Formats: sequence, structure tokens, C-alpha cells
Amino acid sequence: MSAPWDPAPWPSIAPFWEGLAEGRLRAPWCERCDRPVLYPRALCPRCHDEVGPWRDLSGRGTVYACAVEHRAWLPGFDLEPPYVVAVVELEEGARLVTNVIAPPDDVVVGMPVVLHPVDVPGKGFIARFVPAG
Amino acid sequence: MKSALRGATAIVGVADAVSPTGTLPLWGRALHEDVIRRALDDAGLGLGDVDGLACVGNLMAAPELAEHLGLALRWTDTTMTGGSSFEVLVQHAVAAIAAGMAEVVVVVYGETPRGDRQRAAAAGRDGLPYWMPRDTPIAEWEGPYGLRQPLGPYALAASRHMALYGTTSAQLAQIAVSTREWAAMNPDAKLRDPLTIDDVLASPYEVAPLHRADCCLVTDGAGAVVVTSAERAADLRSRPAYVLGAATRQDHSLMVGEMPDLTTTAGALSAQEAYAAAGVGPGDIDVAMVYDSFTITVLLHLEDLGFCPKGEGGPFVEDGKLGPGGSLPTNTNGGGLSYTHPGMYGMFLLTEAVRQVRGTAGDRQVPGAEVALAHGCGAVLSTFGTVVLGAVRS
Repeated sequence: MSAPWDPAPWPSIAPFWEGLAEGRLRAPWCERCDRPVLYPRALCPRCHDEVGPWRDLSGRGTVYACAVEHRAWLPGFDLEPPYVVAVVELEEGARLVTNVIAPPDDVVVGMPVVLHPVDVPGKGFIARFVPAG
Repeated sequence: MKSALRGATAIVGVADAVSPTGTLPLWGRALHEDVIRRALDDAGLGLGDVDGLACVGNLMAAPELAEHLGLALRWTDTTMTGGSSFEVLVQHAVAAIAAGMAEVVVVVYGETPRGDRQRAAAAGRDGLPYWMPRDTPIAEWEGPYGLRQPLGPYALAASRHMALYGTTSAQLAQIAVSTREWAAMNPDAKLRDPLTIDDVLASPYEVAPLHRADCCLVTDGAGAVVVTSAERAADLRSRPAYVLGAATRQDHSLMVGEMPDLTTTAGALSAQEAYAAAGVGPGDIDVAMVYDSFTITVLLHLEDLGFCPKGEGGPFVEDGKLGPGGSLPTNTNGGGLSYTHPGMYGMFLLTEAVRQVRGTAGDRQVPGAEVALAHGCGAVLSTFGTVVLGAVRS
């Protein structure tokens, strides 16, 4: 069994994955809420308005929550425990579940992080983060 | 405003099947039959009296179980909200009975993850495969990052609570310790040996900040409750536990990244609404049965149920007030942490809350308990059902 994720993005969210492969974080933008909609969808989950065109985001954010996985529970997963699973709040407002690639003890809530796309063999690029600066 | 449904219905029969070994001799339909029969017997009713059935499992779980039992029903419900399903189904049953769509509803649950694994191993098969829905957003947006379900999201919530409010691992550990004190009085509980804060902190990390002893059991278990109208209840031999209020809420489902605030659950709203329907407040609750998948789950529930202000759950539990003799008897059966947790634990919140308001909880009976609540939580702090039960109808 391998990591439980089929790199088969739905056509409407392909720009996210294509952007990552170019080192960019992209998201559709809700004009009414003036913030990105991640994960991408057609209707904004906050105001329920139709979401507008895609924009490039800064790739900067802060750690909203972080936990350290201590067991190798997922066969085929590319990170060795202990590794950090986090929720990162992007400076434009949306949140992503992700990994922060750093020694686990160094990662704390509130710390600034920056996008670090990783090409997972056989899977494609995913949106990980590293400490900023 | 009090609900017109306050006291209109009652739980008149309960049964559960739990073993200190963690495994049960029955499984599947035979286990469901066992607890249904015993819950009906507790109420002084038989299968022929049942006209409504609620359970979760397969896509058509309630009709399938009805087929097995040979019941042609007026009303079935298979609403699946994870661990809170049974509080949600009781709310639905209350509405259906009040509306005249059913009169005697059985709500039933049984799962045997521990026995299933042993039987699979004996047959030379692997255990259960890792579960992650395909073709849904979680597989694409949270699956690739090694977030273990459901433990990982709860660890994330704990990390945020600790960072914002200074909550400590020792405070979380106290919840496991108090719960174990109750379990020591329950002969069916899986874990009954004394537990200390140091024991919890010395248990290995699963997903930090949560240790192994911050996590619930995985055991076989089953339970059933029988809900009927207050009028019908008056004719039955069992002492009714009146449903004073019930409310449900959700604000996300399987994706913790969609949870609006990792330290405040949708249960804060189901709690308010259930209290309002019942005409009670947190100060009126004699026994709190709150879903304890993990210690942090309890902490968030205590705050969201209004027993203490947001952020103060850590200091609130520190004096052991959740345990025997404490001012807020909580999870008096020993909880998912020490009694049983087959996967969707909410059924056991109801069976114990009913026993407490009936005064039949044996060694662990809270003296004079008249109002108890069952606060179910499903998925990853996602779906909630709050049911307030009372010994007195009005």
C-alpha cells in the first residue's frame, strides 16, 4: 500500500498543482471576501459567491497549529518520523494542512514559514513549508 | 425558550455489551440482536412493539437491519455523523415520535474492531486497510501530508490550545487519570488499574502533544436505547429518562483544515441549543457524559458546554473535579479512554447517562443525579449531538 493519494487533480483545480511545479502557490480569489479560496472550489465557502480568477499568492504564512507524528504508520510515505504535520495560515488568509520541514522541536505555533514545494517521486509536487528566513 | 418537545419523549430501555477483555463473543447481526433484545426487555417491550429503527453502518443500515429482524417499519434513519451519530439519531427519533411518525424507536450500535482483527489474523488475512475516501477533497488536500486520522487533527487542536492558553500535557493527563478512577468502579471496563499523571506523560508519543494514554481504546462494543413517547413510557415498567432537550451541529466533516477555529467546536452551539430546549444551564448538570476520543476532546467539550470559560479547561480539570466525589462527575462509565471505544462511542454516553438519571449506575452512581447530558462528537471535532436527559418530566 502506498500513500493514500491519487495525484489526479480535478480539472478545475489543476492550476494549483501546475503552479506548484513552477514553485508558485496559486489559488482562486473571492472578490467579495478579498481572500483566496483553498482548497479551490467554484463557490466561496464563506460568502457562497462565485469565486473569481486565480491569483499568485506570496507563499508566506504562519504556523496555526502543529503536531509531531511519531509513528511510521503510512507505508510508502516519504517522511521519516518524527515529522511535523501543521496547519499553516497563509498571509492572504486561507489555511492549508501541510508539513513543515524542520527539526520538530523548532516548529511552534505562530512561527513564520514559506512555501517549499516538494516533488514526491511517483506522486508529483505537494505544498510543503519551511521556516522563513 | 424551552422546546415544545421538552419531556415529550423518554429513553425507556438501554443495554450495552462490553467486556473487560476488549473482545466480545458475538459480532455482526448477532451482536445487534443481543443488545436490541436486552434494551427492549429493559423497557418491558418486544420487537413487535418497534415501529422505528435507527443505526449506522452500511449505506442502507437501518432498512438492512430491519430486514434481518423481520420488521416492516414506519420510520428508519441511517444518518451517519461518526461518533455523534447516536445523539443525532436520538434527536431525530424525538422529532419523529413527537410528530406521530413513530412510537417506539430503537437506536442501536455494535462494532467489533478488536475481534475482527483477531479473526482476520486467524484466517491469514491482514487487518483492516487504512481508510481514506477516494475522489473526495481530503484525499488530495490532507492525505499527502501523513496526517493520521483521526488522531492527527486532535493533536493539532491540542497544540493550538496549548499555544493560545498555556494548557499543559499534565492537565490533559489529569483527564485520563480522573476517567480511570471511574473505570475502576466499572467491572466491564477494559482498563481499571490506577493511572497517574506521570504514567500518562511517560507513555510514548503517538502524535505529539498527545501521548498514547491521551488516546481512547480500540475495543469491541455494542449498545442500544429505546425511545418512546412520554405517554407510552408512563405505561412501561422501567423508569424513564426524559429527553429534555436535544440539538445537533456541524461545521466541517473529515477535513480539519476546514474547521473554522481549532479550539472552539460546533458543539458550543449544539450545547446552547440543547440547554435552551431543556430550560437548563451547565450549572444544572449532575453528570456530564462527554465524548472522550482523546483527552483534548474532553477539554474542548467542557469549555464549549459552558462548564468553564474558553481557554480555562486546563486549570478547571486540575483538581480532579471530573472524578469520583468531584464537583462535575464526568464520564462515569470510564469513558472511551478506559471503558470501551469501538469506533463510534456516542452510544455509551447515552446508556450511562440514562443509568445515572435512573439511579441504576451501581457503585459509580452519582447520588441524587437528576439531569445528565450526553455530548457526542464525530469525525475530527466536526459533528455534534447534545442530549439532555432528566429523571423528571417537567
